[in-house]
Amino acid sequence: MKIPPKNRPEWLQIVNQEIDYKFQNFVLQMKCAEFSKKIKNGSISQTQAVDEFYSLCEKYILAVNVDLQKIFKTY
Amino acid sequence: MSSEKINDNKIMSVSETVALIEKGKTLVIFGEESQISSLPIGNWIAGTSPYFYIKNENGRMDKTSLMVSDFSDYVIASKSETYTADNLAKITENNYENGFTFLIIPALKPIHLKFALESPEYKNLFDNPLIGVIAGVDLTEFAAGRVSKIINGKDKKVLENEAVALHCQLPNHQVARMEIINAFEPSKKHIIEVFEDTFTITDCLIDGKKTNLYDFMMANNMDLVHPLVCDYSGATINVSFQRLDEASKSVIFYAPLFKGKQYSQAKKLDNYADIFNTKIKTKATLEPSLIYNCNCILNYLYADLEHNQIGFTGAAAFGEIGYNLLNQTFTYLSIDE
Repeated sequence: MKIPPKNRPEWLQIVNQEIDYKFQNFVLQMKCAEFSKKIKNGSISQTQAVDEFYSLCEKYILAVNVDLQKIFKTY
Repeated sequence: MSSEKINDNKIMSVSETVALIEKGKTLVIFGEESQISSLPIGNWIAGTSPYFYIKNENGRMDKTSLMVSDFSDYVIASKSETYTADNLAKITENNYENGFTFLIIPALKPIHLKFALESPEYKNLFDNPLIGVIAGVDLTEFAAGRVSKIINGKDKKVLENEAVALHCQLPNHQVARMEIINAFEPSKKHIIEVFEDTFTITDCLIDGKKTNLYDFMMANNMDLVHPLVCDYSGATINVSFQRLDEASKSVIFYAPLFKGKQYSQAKKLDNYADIFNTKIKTKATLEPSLIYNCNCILNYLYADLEHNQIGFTGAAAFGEIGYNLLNQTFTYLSIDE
């Protein structure tokens, strides 16, 4: 099982909340909410946000696999 | 999934719990202070709470038994730590690289309020699940001034102003994941926003207009059973009402409301137990390996869990911890591999 490569544009769209998709997994929901606040107030860069989110998705690959397939379609 | 894969918390006698401790088991324990205090030193942490909900039975307040969660079959190492209000933010520094942390905090003490306000800013908060509860006591005694306690099994000190955590390490092929089940959904009838992070509201914005929340609630017959809810990118987070203060025309909550977030009162539930059971069947019972669950004392009371059951066993808490402070929420920890 793998996750989409980090250079896919969807990752940036996720952390910027430009994709209207609600993750099923609690930690990813909380993380998205945190990014929404931190990117807005400038306390985290978009690159940092993608790095952190990507790491969590790697960790919770079993739980987020269905979500990622719906967002990324193919990878 | 089959129910055999759900590792429910277990109601045990003191002597049964002593036997587990003497075998070196890694435990989280809830019950009456007098019962917990009689346990030997060991690899456990505990908090007071005598309210138990029970699978296939009605729940009960039980001051002689203990509610025991045994993580020994899952963890490969663990360490218990006691934290003060001043160093609780460092809890994530003691995490194992892969695992989870179970935290118990005494109710309505400064450390509880500080955690609620500051935990969203804890460094590396989301690296490992931070799950836990706010300890409680018999509500009648609580109203009379009795306070909840936490105990670290490694020294058995009974504390009322500190928090205790059990940091657990998992093998690399396993990962701990915490989830929530919330029976409530936002009504979005009126949007409430606060001017600062706070537990107590006098004036706030309601539908964009500065309004006294106490007056608004009285005028609109808003009840205290249905919490305010806020959407965190798909996670519905509750903020429960504690009380209305007529003298100061203010509304006091069990968790803070945060500036920049939009809140609305939850939709009214016709039957909490039915709705909750439906949500349980479509989520928690499908988990491959659920090793812990917790429900809120307010759900215990409002859903009348002394005369209902929800398919799980556990201790009802005065608040739940799911990275942040949660209210009126069922939480659980699952292991993926």
